[in-house]
Amino acid sequence: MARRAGAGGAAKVFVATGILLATALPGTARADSAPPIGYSLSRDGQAVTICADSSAAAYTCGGGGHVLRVAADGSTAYVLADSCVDTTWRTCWLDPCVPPGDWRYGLVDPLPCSSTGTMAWEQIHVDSLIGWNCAAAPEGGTPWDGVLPWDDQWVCKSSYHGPFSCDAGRASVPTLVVAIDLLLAAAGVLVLRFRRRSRP
Amino acid sequence: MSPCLAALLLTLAVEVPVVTLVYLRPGRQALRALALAVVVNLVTNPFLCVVLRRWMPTWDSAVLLGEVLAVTLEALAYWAVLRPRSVGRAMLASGLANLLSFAIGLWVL
Repeated sequence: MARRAGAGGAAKVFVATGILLATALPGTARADSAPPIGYSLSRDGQAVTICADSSAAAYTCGGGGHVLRVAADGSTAYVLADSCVDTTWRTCWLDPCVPPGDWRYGLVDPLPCSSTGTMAWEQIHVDSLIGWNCAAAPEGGTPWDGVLPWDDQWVCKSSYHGPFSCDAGRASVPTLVVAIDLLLAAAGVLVLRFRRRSRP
Repeated sequence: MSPCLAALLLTLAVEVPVVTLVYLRPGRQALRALALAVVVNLVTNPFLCVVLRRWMPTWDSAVLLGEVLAVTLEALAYWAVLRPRSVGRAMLASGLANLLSFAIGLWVL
């Protein structure tokens, strides 16, 4: 009997912890176990590859998206030559010629705001000149002479609108997910208690 | 580290101990629960982060569908594999583990 009561108590503590965590989340929390969307950068001897985390048609090849490469200190900015590749899992762009330095890559028209947060750019460090097309495109693209479309790395942060958040009551995907998980856990506790009470 | 790998590692770090603790008492199931939690999360989390991310029209719809699928499939797996079978314990383990990993992810990722 004491063991049963102990297990029930532990379950209550777990659920209470979950409720406290869920309700105390700040309204401007950045992400969840599903990460924010943004870009993944990789490099080899041939190019820097920029892959976007969106399946929306506007952000796939042929959707008219252009990638910007900006020096981390903001001194130079280029629009990459169109070298888009749709793979099974993602849409990627290749930067054909990258000088040494710290570079930020992102789409000129940023990715759409998502409930888990959206990044405007990602940064990569390049030690020495890399590229397969430096002769034809010494800078890898055409200079950008407009106002930079992004400054802050975040297009938007995650949107939790649960109890105690700044705008409690507004529905959002994180709020729904928290509610579903919480309901399932609470239903589990109720089922366990009901089973114990109904035992002879 | 890629965002999806970070999300997977965080999910495993949070959910595996929670599921193991929930199954600590009945019939020495803790080790089986631990192994099962690792296996199911190795399936559900990459499915959300890689497959649904690509094939759902928006990331928000992928998150919602992925999270609902994950919590449901994980509860079913715990109910089907671990003995003695307990609907309540499976629901508690899956709901609580996913709630905590989701909430902690809001701060960490």
